[in-house]
Amino acid sequence: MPQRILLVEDSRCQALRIQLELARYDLAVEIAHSGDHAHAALRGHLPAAVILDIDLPDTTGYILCRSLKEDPTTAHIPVIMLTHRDAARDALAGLQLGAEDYIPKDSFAEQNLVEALRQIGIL
Amino acid sequence: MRTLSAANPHQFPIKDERDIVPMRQAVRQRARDLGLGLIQQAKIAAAISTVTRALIETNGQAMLHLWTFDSPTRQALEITCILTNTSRIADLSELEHTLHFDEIRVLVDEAMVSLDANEAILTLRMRLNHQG
Repeated sequence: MPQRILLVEDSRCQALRIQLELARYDLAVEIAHSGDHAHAALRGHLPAAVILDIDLPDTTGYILCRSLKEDPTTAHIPVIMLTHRDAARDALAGLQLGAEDYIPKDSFAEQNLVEALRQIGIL
Repeated sequence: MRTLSAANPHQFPIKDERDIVPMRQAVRQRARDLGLGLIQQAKIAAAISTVTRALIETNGQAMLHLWTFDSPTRQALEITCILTNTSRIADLSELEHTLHFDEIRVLVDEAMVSLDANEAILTLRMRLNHQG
């Protein structure tokens, strides 16, 4: 049974691109387009990892990351932040909240995402 | 142990914003090859992006040198940059402020800058034995 990844991404195009890329590695990607959808998805079967965009319509990836890491039932789930923001202060904010990686959305993003999942032990 | 030569740094001429992405990826790849953890990879990649963007804004261009030290006594990734035409910079604190060194120092193990009349040298270093 493929491992399940929760991808929280409001851009449907980017979400689909990542979903297709990770499907090549036999990962089942569930997409949540908002913070509410993400919380709903986390109430069921817990994912092996969460990939978080920062800019979401109803919240931010930072807030979502904090709530994941503060909740004992989800604190162990690796979080990878995938975002357009590449400034030092943005990366620092994500990593200080407990994210395992912080990956800018550039032309190498999917390659780095796969490598991060490999290093976390998902792949 | 695999030994990478520190005598031949990878050089990145930075002319504009388009040069940041491949340079950042090379830094991340070298960090990964050296064995730095994910968080360290993310930190040094974010640090060099921020510094490079500031260098483009203030200096117009820059040449970055990426060094990998992988020996039993020293395992580290180091990025250096020599800035010329620094006569307009009043002092070291102004240069550090311009390059966002307050944020950079939180991200990397060492961030240093030295300034004399005509040039400045900045160095960022991440060591393998430091997780987090």
